[in-house]
Amino acid sequence: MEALPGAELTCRARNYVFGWGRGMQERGVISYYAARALPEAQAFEDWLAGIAGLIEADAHSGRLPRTHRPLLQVLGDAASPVIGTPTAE
Amino acid sequence: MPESANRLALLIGAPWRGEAAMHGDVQAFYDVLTARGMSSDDLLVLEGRLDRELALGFLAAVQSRVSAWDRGDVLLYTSGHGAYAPLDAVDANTVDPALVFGPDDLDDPSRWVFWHEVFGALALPPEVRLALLPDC
Repeated sequence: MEALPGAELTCRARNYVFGWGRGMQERGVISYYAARALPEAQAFEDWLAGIAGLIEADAHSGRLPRTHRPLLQVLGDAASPVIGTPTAE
Repeated sequence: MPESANRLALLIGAPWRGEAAMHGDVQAFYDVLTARGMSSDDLLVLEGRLDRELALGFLAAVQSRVSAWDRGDVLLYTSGHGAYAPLDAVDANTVDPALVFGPDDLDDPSRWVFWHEVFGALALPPEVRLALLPDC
């Protein structure tokens, strides 16, 4: 994101305003998609794939600017289970 | 390896003045993790105007809780800002990244919490797995 004056050295993954009307809310882009993909994720590789799928769909439909697309990866054992119990799809 | 009965999710939201996104981020993760069966006892939230002392105190409290675990799972999620030292670094592999809790702290790394300090403060037992999702 564009740095605040005097804060050029900081980093902040991008924010974006999601939703419509009264439901509009500014969120961190990574957080927004990670939270949406988390419910059904069994393993970290599933979680990442879910995030990528949601981002791709929103970018394709124009709901997310291409300049805001994060590039994510799993460092470590991608087959490890994600904490908690997946909800039914 | 199946998930352990010992589990804990740490949700840290560290907005700068006037920022609302981090609150929504933490709330969303809290809701989703609750839907995944995590109880309120398994979800620890630190959110608001933070500083180094508050953050390290929170991590110390977590460490005291998990220190006796023989195995388990910890998820650490953060939504906030970061920076790195040295400020003139040119090699991403040699920088020391950190959480920064306000724009006034940017020129004073002694007020940052470096990630190596986070891991040191948690001092998780060897068989406790840590998953980290930083949005910063």
